[in-house]
Amino acid sequence: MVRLIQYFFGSIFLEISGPSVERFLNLCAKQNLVLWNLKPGGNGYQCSVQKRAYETVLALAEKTGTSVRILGRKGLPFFLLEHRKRKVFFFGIGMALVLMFLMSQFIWEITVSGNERYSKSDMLKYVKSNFYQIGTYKKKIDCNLLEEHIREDHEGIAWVSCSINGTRLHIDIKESLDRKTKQNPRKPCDIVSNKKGTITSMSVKSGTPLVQVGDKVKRGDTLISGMIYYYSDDYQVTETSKIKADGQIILRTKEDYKETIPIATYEKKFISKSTRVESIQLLNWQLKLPIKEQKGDYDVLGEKKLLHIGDLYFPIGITTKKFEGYEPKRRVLTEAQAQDKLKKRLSAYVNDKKKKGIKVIKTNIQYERQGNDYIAKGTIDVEEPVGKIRNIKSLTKKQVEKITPTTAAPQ
Amino acid sequence: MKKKPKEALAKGLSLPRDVVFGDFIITLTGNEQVMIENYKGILSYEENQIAVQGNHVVLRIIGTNLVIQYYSMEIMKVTGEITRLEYA
Repeated sequence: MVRLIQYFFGSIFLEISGPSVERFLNLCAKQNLVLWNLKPGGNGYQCSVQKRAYETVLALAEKTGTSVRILGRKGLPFFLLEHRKRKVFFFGIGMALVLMFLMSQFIWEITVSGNERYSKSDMLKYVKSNFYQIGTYKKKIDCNLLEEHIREDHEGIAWVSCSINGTRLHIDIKESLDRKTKQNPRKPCDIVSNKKGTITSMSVKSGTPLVQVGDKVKRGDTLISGMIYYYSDDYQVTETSKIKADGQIILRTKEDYKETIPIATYEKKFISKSTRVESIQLLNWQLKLPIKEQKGDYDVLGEKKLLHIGDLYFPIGITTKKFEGYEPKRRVLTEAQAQDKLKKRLSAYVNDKKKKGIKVIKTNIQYERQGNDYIAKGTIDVEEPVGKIRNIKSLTKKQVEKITPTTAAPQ
Repeated sequence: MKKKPKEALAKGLSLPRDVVFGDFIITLTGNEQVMIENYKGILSYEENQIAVQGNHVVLRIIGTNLVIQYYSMEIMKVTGEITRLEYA
């Protein structure tokens, strides 16, 4: 870092000689001039000083009667001075900067995170075919609109956020609502159910609750409305307004569970591995490289690597293909082994739920053999936070009646 | 024995000696690097000996291939093969 600064400002390498060099050095220190790489040599001492301190050095040298000789100049200012006639060189640097700036005005990479049910490639295909291609001008991208469309066109997505970082469009998806993500809607909204079940607990932070603990709700029912009503003293609605509904609702639901594994399976026994560069990409052009055919059976894993500095992605990259050769191997499971395997899958499934904040209350699973398969079948009772953000819908008359405060006074 | 007032100050208030007396602070790393703070100036400088003037005392750094890496009002860094530090 220090060297970088020294290079940037430029330094002069000096030889100092004369009768009272020590006095000169002490004066330099007094003037807050930093001398570095000071060593005896030549007739006196050699050291480096900053370029802009050189004039003071000369003045001090005159004062103390020492003689100063320049041995060399280093750094960016001298470099520029030396090469000032090389116009094409500077033009090249300028062009590179301009090009980099222009390139950074487009989207070169789209990434998706947080997806579980929808695959990454599906999401990318959806975005690329319906909305924005790679190489779209950044200012043309409307993140809010994209968010809304993604939410509307995908049933299972509860929350989505699109952002542009550098030259990357990032889409963050949540498929179930949890405490952290719910605070983020930008516009007033309702919270609706995305599951069918019975409410076991609810806490409303903002908005008008339309359901109670113990209620059975269907998918799409409004749980908390973002419409709020102001009442006068005699319970007439004076004013309504829209806010962001927020709260946590836990629903008890029943899920069907079915898992089948065949008795005899073929497993892959991997025997070889190799990676090849398949193509080189520049902007939207791809240069395919010849790849030698592989023998036997193999898995192919394709990977695309783009050149990037942090979040600034460039439209230059390579795609690689990884070949993993294997031999098929037949394996027959006994009943105990199969059951073991099924149980393991079930517990992995339950653990997966737990990680998502879903409580598994009861599992009711039976194991049986059916023809050439082992089957685990049954239901799982779970308690899970539900809720999905939706744009505000006005309340029905029935719902309005339900929330209107009643009075004990006779009518 | 009667203590000097500064001595008493340093001991009584447990103030650091470098503040009260302007003593050297010397940080020696192995035998190759030494950082010196709180000095007045350089008295002499040769390849195998550097004399530094302190507040009351002169410090001599003795070694071979001594180079002052940098030198400012507050701190200086000397590298080389250091064999001795001497007060005179």
